[in-house]
Amino acid sequence: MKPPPFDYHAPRSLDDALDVLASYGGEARVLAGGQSLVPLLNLRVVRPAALVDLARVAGLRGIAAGAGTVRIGAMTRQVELERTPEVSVGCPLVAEAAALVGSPAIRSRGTLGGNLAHADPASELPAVMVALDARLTVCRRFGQRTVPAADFFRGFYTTALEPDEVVTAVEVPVTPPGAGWAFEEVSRTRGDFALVGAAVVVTARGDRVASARVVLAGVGPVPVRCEAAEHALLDGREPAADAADAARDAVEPEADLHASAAYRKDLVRAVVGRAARRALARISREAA
Amino acid sequence: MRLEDPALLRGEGIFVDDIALDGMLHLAILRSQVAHARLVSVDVGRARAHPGVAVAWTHRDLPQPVPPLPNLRPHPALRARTPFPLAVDRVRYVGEPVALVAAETRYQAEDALEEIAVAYDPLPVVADLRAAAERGAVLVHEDLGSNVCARVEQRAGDFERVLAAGARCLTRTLHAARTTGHPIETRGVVAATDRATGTLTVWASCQRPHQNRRIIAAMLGLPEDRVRVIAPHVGGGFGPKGRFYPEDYLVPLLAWRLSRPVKWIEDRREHLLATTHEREQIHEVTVAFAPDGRLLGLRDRFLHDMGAYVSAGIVVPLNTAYTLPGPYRIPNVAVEGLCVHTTRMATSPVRGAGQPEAAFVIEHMVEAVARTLEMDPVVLRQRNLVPADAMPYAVGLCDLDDQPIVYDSGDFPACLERAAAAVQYATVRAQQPAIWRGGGYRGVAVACYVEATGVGPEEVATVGIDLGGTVTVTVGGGSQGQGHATMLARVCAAELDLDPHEVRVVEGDTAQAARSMGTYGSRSAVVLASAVCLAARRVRTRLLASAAARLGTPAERLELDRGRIRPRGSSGPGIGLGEAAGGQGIRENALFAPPRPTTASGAHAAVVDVDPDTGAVRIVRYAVVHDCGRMLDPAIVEGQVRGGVAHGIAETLYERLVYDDEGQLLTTTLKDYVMPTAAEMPDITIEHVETPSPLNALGVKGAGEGGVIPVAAVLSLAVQDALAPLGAVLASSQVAPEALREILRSAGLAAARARGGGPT
Repeated sequence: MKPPPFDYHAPRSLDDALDVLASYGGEARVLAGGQSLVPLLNLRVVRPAALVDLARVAGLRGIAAGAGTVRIGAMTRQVELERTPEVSVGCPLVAEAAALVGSPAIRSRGTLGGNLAHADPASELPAVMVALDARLTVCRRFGQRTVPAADFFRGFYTTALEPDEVVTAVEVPVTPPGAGWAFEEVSRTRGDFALVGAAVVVTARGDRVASARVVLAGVGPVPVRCEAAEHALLDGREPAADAADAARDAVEPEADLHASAAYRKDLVRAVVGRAARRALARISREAA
Repeated sequence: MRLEDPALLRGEGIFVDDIALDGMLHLAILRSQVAHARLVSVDVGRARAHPGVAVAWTHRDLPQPVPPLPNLRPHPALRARTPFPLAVDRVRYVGEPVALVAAETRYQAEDALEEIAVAYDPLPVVADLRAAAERGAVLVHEDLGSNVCARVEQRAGDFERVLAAGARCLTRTLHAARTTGHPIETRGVVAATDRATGTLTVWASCQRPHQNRRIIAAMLGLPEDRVRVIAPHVGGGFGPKGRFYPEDYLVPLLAWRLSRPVKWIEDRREHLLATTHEREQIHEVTVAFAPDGRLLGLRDRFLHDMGAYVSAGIVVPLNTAYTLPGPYRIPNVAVEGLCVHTTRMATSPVRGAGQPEAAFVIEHMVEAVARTLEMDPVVLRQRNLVPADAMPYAVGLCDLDDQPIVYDSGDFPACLERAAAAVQYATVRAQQPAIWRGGGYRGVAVACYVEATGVGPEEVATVGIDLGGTVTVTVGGGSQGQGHATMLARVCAAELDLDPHEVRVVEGDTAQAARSMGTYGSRSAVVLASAVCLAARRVRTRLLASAAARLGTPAERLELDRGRIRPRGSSGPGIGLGEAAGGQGIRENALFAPPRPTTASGAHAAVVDVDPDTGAVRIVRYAVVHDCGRMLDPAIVEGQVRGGVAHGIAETLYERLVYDDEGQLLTTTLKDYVMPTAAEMPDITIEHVETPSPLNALGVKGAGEGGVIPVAAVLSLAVQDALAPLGAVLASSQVAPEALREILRSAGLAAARARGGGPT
């Protein structure tokens, strides 16, 4: 399990990184924390001509609370999402979900940007970013654009990134006071890939649910927003239970080695129900 | 802390991959990507031209005639087909070595593997154990004329007569599933020649260095004294590292032929594909029982998956066959096992070696009888366990060496009683109706087991004292991390009235110990430690005799005290051990050959909750009551037991070796082969019953495997008990949340239909 030969670049500035990336015309891969890419290299599943290591690039790491958003640099380690007050106060769903990514050793190396750009459909953070309407800052030589998370994920391990582009930061809207949120998943072991996961965010007006967002991981090629479950949270007689049933009925997951489609549907019901109950409980606690 | 631990904790352990020699080549193996095919051609021409490549070889490039690998355990009932080091003209499992490359780096070697062109002519796959055993099946080895390479049989009493007499019977089909051992250190071999002495030194992460030396010497045509095998620190073995693999021959061969050091380190994918597996069996089993719950007879016809080749004879199915009655008195037994080849990786003993399968089968049958008679399963077991006053107890069956099995000691009923109490069995039983009514699923179960430990034929130990007074224990052995040094130092120190830290233990080197069988079958605490004990006693006698002459005091009036020998009651300095040992030092060998295996035993109990929404199993309480006779080192015993339980939990609830219909292994990384971590482990309560074995001076029985033996049984039964309101009957040693959820979903649908409503 050794990778085939590749060139290795460790630029110190973003401009240099983008230059060298562009010079390979799509044959280079960006190395962030390496927690997904390096195993794929060793298994010879991916065979890039070059790796462009962002570890030494200045300015890509760090968390800053701004007006209405929390800005997280792409090279911010996942462990920092768990432990930084700006995240746990400003967008606590990110902190809650980050704690479920891999093991502590993996989170100490793995980065937010790397996780999103890898676009594993079972991964927690892509679903969370879609649920929170986060926006990704994407840079290329002589240009920069902003991509809403909902448009970023395009298919299995496929994103809106062009081969010469790099995710540099993620802007996460601050979760409004009084909102409820939760992330729930079922994985075979602690730290293993989720079989399915659910991110739920709700806001309330008075004693009614005013808005609801339900996004699922592990049920399709990209994070799947489940509007049927959102409607149930707004209108259901038993909102959490109804949302759980609605989500189960709405999803069309595929079978794989680890779970049949029918089992995944059952798990969707379980995680949506649990996440919705916790999210709703959080609103009432905040409102009180 | 164990004597081994300071070095290991400081990172000063030397494992095979830590050995780096000047000019060392790195070996990589090209493995078959198809399960069954004729090899039409293997072209290594382009690989030879790859940068850094020293050699690229197929079977034809090996020194001819190429010997097949040996069957490590011949048996008269077995027609053994073993593999060649590199496939000759046919491949029989995914992962079978087809060609090799040795290069300056492992990277270059793996790059060059991609340059090898193999043409396969596919043959039908033999992926189903039942189908493989049938007449007309595609043959894995055509010259055998059948996929059944051996038939094992055990008989006691007359089962047919019990049937004819009209006893009540229950028949079940039970499936034990394929898993493997997972040492943190995979296999690995380094070999180097020494021109000055004309010798070949091999470092191998293995359990049986002397066995490997014998085979390497024979296959290379060298006298044994020109081959030295060293098992340095070994990071876990669990049985599979006791086998002899193609790489164990190819690495020394390359080093010998090329006169350069060669290294091969198995990667995790290779470990999953090409290190032996175990446990896959299908049992059709019938028990006969009396109305009061006494077991009258057992008949079992089972299929055992050998995989593509024979590795360690038929140890596993033989163990299963004779262990089936376990701790229970069953007067009439008729067991027949067919050993069946399939196009999958070969199977051989993994921790427990056929005994977990047997425990799984008999415990499910005992439970089924209890359910049928509406008796409490603990009470029914107590009624059938061999009582303590029946020891020694002749089972009526024969062991691996065809010797009658006699349980030497044990108190099975006490173990069961204490295990049940430790998980609050009665309380859980009382609470269950309310839990079930509330929509919860909590279950409790017990399982009992026996384990044949301390298997022979023998071990030799040397205890020496040199002029400087250093006490050295030298054994063959081959510790894989169990703490042999700590245990053996303790045994020696106790005989010589020393602190264990003052005893040096040398192990795992064929140049140091003349002979040894190695480490397997929970034998070292029994056989090695007994040999050390005997040798140390001889040393003590000689020390006292020598000191008696020097001090002018009769030996019987001398005492040994922390390294000094002085007249009893005297406060004088006396003389030190080195001085007493004299100019030549003292060196005593002792051989211990156990008359027969010792019988370790015990009972496990578990309380589990099943999550109705996900089918996930949570272990609420887990208790082990374990009898390995006198414990030489309780902390090591508990470590072994706890590790065994973790192994059992892993293979019951998490780990899966999944082959598809094409014979492809789908679980070739730890992403897909799910190993639990400490986070998944429950607290495990361990209690001990110590019934000393009469078969050795120390009174010990082995402790290495008992921890795993009843785990699949007790967990699957506890889960079955949790789902009892749904009438669930589990038939597999693997308990998958998805399967449990399936049971719950079907029950929910049935209930909804009965109510005329929708599903829940």
